[in-house]
Amino acid sequence: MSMLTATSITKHFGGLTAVKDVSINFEKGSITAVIGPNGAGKTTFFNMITGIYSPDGGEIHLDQKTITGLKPNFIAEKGIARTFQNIRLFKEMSVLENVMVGMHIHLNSGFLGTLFSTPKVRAEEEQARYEAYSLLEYVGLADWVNHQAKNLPYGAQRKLEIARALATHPKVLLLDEPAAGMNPKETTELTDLILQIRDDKQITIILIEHDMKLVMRISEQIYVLDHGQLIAQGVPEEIRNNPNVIEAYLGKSALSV
Amino acid sequence: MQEILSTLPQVLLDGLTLGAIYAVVALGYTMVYGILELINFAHGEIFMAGAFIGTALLFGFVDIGLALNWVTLVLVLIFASLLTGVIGVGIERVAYRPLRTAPKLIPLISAVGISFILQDVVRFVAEYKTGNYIVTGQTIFENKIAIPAFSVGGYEVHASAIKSNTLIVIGIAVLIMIVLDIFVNRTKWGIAMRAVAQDRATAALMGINVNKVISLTFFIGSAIGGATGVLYAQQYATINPFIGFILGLKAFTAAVLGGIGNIRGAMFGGLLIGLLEVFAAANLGILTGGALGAEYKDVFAFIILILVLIFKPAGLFGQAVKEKV
Amino acid sequence: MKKLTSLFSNSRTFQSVLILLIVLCASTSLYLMDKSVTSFLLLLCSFLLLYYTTFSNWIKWGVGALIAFAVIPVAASGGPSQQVYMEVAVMAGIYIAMALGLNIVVGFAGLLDLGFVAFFALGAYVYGIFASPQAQALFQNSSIFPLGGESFWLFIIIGALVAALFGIILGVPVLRVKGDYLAIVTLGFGEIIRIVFNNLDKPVNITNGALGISGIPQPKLFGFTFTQSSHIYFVVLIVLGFVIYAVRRFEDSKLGRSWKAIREDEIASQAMGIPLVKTKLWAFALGASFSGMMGVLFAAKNQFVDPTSFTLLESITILVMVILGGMGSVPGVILGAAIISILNLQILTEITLFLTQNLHVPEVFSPAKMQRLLFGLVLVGIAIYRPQGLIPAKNKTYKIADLKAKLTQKKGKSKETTTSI
Repeated sequence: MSMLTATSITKHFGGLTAVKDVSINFEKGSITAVIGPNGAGKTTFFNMITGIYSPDGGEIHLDQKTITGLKPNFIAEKGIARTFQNIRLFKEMSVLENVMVGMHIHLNSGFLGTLFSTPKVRAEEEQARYEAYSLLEYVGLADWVNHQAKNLPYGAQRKLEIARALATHPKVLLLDEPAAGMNPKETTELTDLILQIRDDKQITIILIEHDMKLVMRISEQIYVLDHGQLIAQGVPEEIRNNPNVIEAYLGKSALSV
Repeated sequence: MQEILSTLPQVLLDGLTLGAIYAVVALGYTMVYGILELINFAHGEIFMAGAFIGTALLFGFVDIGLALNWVTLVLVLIFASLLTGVIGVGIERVAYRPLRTAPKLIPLISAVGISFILQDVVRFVAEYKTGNYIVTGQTIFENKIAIPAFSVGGYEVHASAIKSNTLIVIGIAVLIMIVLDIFVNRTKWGIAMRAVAQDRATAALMGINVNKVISLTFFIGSAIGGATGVLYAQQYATINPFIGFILGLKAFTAAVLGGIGNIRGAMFGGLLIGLLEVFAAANLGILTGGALGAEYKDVFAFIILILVLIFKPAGLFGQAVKEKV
Repeated sequence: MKKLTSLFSNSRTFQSVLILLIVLCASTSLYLMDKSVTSFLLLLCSFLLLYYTTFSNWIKWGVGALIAFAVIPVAASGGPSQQVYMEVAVMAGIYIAMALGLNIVVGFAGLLDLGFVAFFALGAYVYGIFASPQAQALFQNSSIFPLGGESFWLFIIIGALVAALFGIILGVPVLRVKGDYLAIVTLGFGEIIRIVFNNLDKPVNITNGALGISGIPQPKLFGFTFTQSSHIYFVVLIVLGFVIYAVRRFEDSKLGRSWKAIREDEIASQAMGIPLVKTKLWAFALGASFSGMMGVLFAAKNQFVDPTSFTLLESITILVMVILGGMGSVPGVILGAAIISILNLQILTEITLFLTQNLHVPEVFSPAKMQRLLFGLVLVGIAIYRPQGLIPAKNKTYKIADLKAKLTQKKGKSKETTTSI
């Protein structure tokens, strides 16, 4: 069953077409990678799905319902969460608070409830705290609870972004270069974490990644973008041997060798 | 209608003068914002400092017995703009440069602080020297050029008069704008400036000395701001340390109106705001049947600012900029 | 010195003795001497010391309340300068509450508001107009006006609501655009409100223009009129207490976290489901409402309002309090506001008096006139050398062991239930 579908979505920036007529169908509970050279339009594609840009053409459906052109916060409410290529944590806030911000849409404390600190609000806050902590434990950051997010090591910051995204209880999780800047050991841990998230929580995972070892190991489907267009799709084995893909990455000369 | 039309020539002339002043001050805001994405709150105070420096110089010239004429005006303009230019560079060096990587709020706060410091320093000096912080300076070109009354299509148009100084203000302001436009678009340093405004990191990689370019931007912006201050003092004679604040607000509105970072847009925005303000001051009472008077002219610029921000946040000629995700 | 601080932080006995000693010394000398600014300041310093003790929050708040409600008023009542001290304390209280309001906007949500005093003015004028004879001139056919001093209590709430409403009206268009324009728009708004109040004596006389509104009634409760600063002091304390309570509630709530998240990163906040404009509007409205409340108090205390009390300098003064104390830090902002308002109201005037009378320094050198310079230096200095302020904001910390224990307890429970099914 399809979870998320993009139907011929397009985005222009001035004269440049960053994404052109791309259609991808993401199956429920699958792990899919979107790859391509730098500037291929991968992040723009993510930004359209998460509502940061609204597409100039085409439709996006989540669970058969359209989410095209909705604002990012509504799309988060509908069940799409993401991480960012250039880590965007709430730097001055504590690690636990970062995850609690992710729970925003599931907390119902109103203005007056907060002001008078009603038992309901207190219970909800306490519950949120435990859930945040359990998510931190899940991604392996249990010892960092009270640290400021900016003081975390790089790899841990990437994990915190994942924990924060999971706190929104997403149906679909978009990971934008989750392994960027990680050492091989951290990348292995991350690979296990992504698989575990899918298995435990039945979340549909889409990732942009340049680390081909990681991509080939965990993706069930791979889509390749180049110059904003979809040039190939298939299982890892097919993509590995696809001449179009090799050309896009290495140039035409690579093929003749 | 008759009433409005009858005063129109005077309104247009006054509006143009004020607009020219706004336009040049707006240039300072727009240049700094273009290059640092910082609202340089102190720029209005630089303008004010220019007015005071010019006035002080003229007093000094009178003291040593120099005649006040063209030559003295040019001398004063040069001195005042050099001095304000140096002040501008100093401000950037001390209060903005250490904060370039700080969260955006922090340099804004520093800018507000600098603006207050300048106001008070000038107030102190003026009060210490003259006993009062409101100063009426020497004006050089006081003679009036009369424009006789005439009638158009049955409407009687009143006679109007311009100080010869008005022509000087407009003339010099236009000259500054033309020279700046050529400088930014045609010279090596102007191109470097635009490059730094577009992408500081890449410009640095291309071998441009970014700090030098930023200093230069502050020097030019502050120098022409200071020169405008001299012109303002010549035109309106009486100045005080707080003139830069509201005027700065309006000039900033002009910069936003023209699309912040856009130099030609700022010139246009300044002229438009000046004309609108003088028109409002002269005719608000007539248009509202006496309910609102000229006191509300300052409210006008502000309403324009809000309207522009709602409907055209990128300004009339600006391009919307998206943050990179 | 190091020894002393370590002794202080390690020994609660030492802490209690020290505070007791200071409070005793300061309050007796304040009570016995005619005018002793030093002992008054020393008494206020006991609050700061109290903050740094290691006692539980309940004890800190209890002792603090005791000093504020009992020790200070009694100690100040000893001499002829009682009302002078109380006046300073009242103004400090008003400024602290406003600074806490501005802290929500600037410190929590990261929005620079340079016209905050506009909301203070709104509160002051709302009470001023409807409770004074000014309302009679306005509604000549109505017999309910003026409303009188009993209505003061209701107007504290109305003032808060009106200010919040204007905050929203201003915020809706402005909060959509980029953050740094907000500074300039609020700057303009502050001026506009002043210009409007200054000129709204025609065509209909609403604000009495530049002359201001006089004859504003003092608060009345069950026939008792709060005529003196020493009476108003208690009203201010209660309102301030409420404001501090409210700010602390919001700080660690869903709303408070979303303010801080927006301050840190708007795009990431949105991706977490936080609506930007709505969240900023809450900050704007709530901050404004504190200011509006204090405006009502200010009008009732002075019995007079005119536009000169609401200049840009006032807005910047409140901003300086927040920046000096520490953006986003509630204790910091309280400290900053106390320092600046006491500096403004007492220390600068004392020094000026001393300089001009004893040393015959010309008036132009008087420090009381150099507020702008002083504030400017504080702003630039803090921005460059200590952007986190005197008492930096701290994130709430949680005991990891507690979280772990509760979690395993919960997990255990859920396992039990699943196995029993």
